[in-house]
Amino acid sequence: MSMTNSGESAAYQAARAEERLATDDHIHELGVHVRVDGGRAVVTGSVTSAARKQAVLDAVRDELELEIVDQVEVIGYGGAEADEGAS
Amino acid sequence: MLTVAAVGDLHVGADSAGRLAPHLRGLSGQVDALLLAGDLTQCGTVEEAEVLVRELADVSVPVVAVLGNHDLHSRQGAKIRDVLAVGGITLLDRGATVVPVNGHVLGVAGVTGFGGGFAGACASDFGEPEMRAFVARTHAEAEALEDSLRGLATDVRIALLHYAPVADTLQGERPEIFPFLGSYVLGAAVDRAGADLVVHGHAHGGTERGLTPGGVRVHNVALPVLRRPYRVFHFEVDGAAV
Repeated sequence: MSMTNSGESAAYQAARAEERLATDDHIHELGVHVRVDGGRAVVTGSVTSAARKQAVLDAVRDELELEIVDQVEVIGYGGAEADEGAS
Repeated sequence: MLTVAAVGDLHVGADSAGRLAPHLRGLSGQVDALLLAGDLTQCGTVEEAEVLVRELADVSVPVVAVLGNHDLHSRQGAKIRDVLAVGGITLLDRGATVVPVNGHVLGVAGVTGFGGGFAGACASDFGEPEMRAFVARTHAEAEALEDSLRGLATDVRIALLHYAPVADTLQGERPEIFPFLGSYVLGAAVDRAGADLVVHGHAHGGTERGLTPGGVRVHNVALPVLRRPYRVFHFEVDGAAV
């Protein structure tokens, strides 16, 4: 089992972050996944706007206080959109 | 010829205002109906439904929808139905509707559906009351879908769902979550009643095309899967999809 500096397993951290993304009243994203690997949070999936992507990344950063690896894609109503600067 | 457009998982929120409508402007001269396969809204609020209605205001063809899990989150499903009705959108909840088109008739049976899984990894009507209630909901949705399809004596019959009726269209998603994405029970209902096409959403990481064990075409039309505003289906009068 992979443990972090806080003593919480990486799996529990990832689950906690995904629970936050699903239940946060300002987010409710179930199609975004989090994996904690090497002290970094890898965030994958898709959302429909750059603003929602930013909200997702901010929430994971706030929840886990780890470096974020952003692999979230913005797929707008016309299809995939260029990254608008979310980080 | 009947022509239908479908998309699911629009996840409309306040930030969708003005962003969806431009991509739907071409529909009115191109298709006979638009199907929305659930998760119309992000949080299931009336305000989001109102944004959706405004975005669809210029779509002049009939719009038929089912709700998804996001639409049900805030327990405002009844109010959302009212908002959609005012906007001219037909919301199906264990029911069906018919759309006359140039002398032919399109029939759409719609349910949200539910989870439970597929062969080899299924929830069963056994054990704790909560588990049995979970399974019972799926069976109730499936029975309603079957009844609604059987009641459609139309040229073309489409099953409109949010959850997936087959595992084919979930390929790409993690297998661990398949039981939360759909159920074979829904596919079995389609095969018993017969249909020309099934469209569903919900599985953002899934695959577009599949088949029920009985050979009915299934399309996952979730927006992240399509990666375009909608998918268009053409039907010959005898019901063969092309």
